[in-house]
Amino acid sequence: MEQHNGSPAGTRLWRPAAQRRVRNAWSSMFAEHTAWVSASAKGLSVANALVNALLSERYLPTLDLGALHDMVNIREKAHLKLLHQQEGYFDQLLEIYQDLVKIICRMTEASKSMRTYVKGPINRPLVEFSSDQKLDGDFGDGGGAVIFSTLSLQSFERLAEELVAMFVSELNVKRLLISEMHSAVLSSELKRQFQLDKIEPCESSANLMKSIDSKNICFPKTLNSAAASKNLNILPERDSSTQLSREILQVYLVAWLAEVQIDKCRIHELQELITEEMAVSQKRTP
Amino acid sequence: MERLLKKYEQKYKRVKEHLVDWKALQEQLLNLSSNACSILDRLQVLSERENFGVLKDVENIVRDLPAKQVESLECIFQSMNKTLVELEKVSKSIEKSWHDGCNLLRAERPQPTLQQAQQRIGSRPSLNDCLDGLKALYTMHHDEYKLKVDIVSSLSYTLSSSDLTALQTILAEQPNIPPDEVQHIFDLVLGGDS
Repeated sequence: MEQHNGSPAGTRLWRPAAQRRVRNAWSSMFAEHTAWVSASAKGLSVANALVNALLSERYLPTLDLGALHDMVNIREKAHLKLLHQQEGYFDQLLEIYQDLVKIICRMTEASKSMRTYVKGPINRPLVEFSSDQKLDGDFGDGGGAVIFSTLSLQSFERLAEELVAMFVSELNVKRLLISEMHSAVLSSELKRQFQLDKIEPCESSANLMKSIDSKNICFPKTLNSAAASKNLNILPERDSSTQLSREILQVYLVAWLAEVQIDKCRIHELQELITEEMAVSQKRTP
Repeated sequence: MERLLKKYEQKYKRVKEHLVDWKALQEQLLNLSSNACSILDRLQVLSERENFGVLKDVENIVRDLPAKQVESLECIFQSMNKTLVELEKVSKSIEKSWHDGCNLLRAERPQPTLQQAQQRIGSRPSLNDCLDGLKALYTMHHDEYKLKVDIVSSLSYTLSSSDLTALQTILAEQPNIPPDEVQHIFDLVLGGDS
């Protein structure tokens, strides 16, 4: 301690470097928050579309088709198309989820990047700082010194942890929702496969696929019966009776929208607190 | 007389601007109320634990999710009330235009006779037409404002979803403001260029 941060010169040199790091860390954390908000909103609209496709497919057998009733295989084709849509929406949703994961990774990284360690002995003319610990007894926190006007590095880290924790638990909720959507999509595919195998010989379903393929709609690989039956074992058992009800799907969408784990007021508070803290110090050290 | 008619035209142009504001506020109110209704609609679903599926096991979510929705609902109600205040301002502005119109006629020297006030020259409106039109526009918007206040204050947790839809429809329809009649009033005073 004594050889670097403890000394007045050490702290004096350490502070600007730490200020820079803390400032960067928080600005990237808040930027990730903005990125989260837009990715999550995109996810909501995709999830909405997915749920609509699931429900339309579910109600298709009882749907009154009116004048279209006599068209050959109309229900079959509609069914396949809806399955295809579900696949597409689910892929999009998965992509968005991956984006969310990346956002949280970057946020976590930023939240842990505030510690500023002294590089090399303090008595050299040029003191350098790094993000890695180089000296024993240097915790990168300037010995608990105030960085801007009132908060120490530990306080900044605690606030950052609080922020990140909210997003991590919301990400967990979203992961649950996605896995539920996944099994819903897969089970409707499997049910379809099962029905086809039972009612008609496989070739007719292959023909249907082909006829739709020829209209430039290509099916994802998982629709192939081989792949689907391979997935059979790892699927949670879900027949029509344990199918996700309309209400459950609605609650899932609301849960995605409301982001219960993220306290928006608190985030706003944090934003104000941090900005104020940094602004005051700027006024003091012109 | 012609000079007075010109002044009334000015008033009508002003009112027309107020009606643009009204339209924007109306749209805002509709958006808010449709959000409010969808939350009210889903609160029932959210109040039953079985509907949470896999989320049942997430800590506190069965309690927090409806709570958060109620919170957003309260926010929406606040914004709706703010929008209503703005709508009232528009209705007051139209009232002021009407009162100003009355004062214009009263201050006119020599005071126009009853006959002069009723006289229409060619396709031009009479002075009375101008005043009646302003009054009608004010009454329509004032009544509509009062109706909207009633509708907004009747939105509550106990309404069924068909009631909610009905209220939404009334809010959108604006029964007190028939668009044909509004157009007719403007056509009469401002002529073809309205």
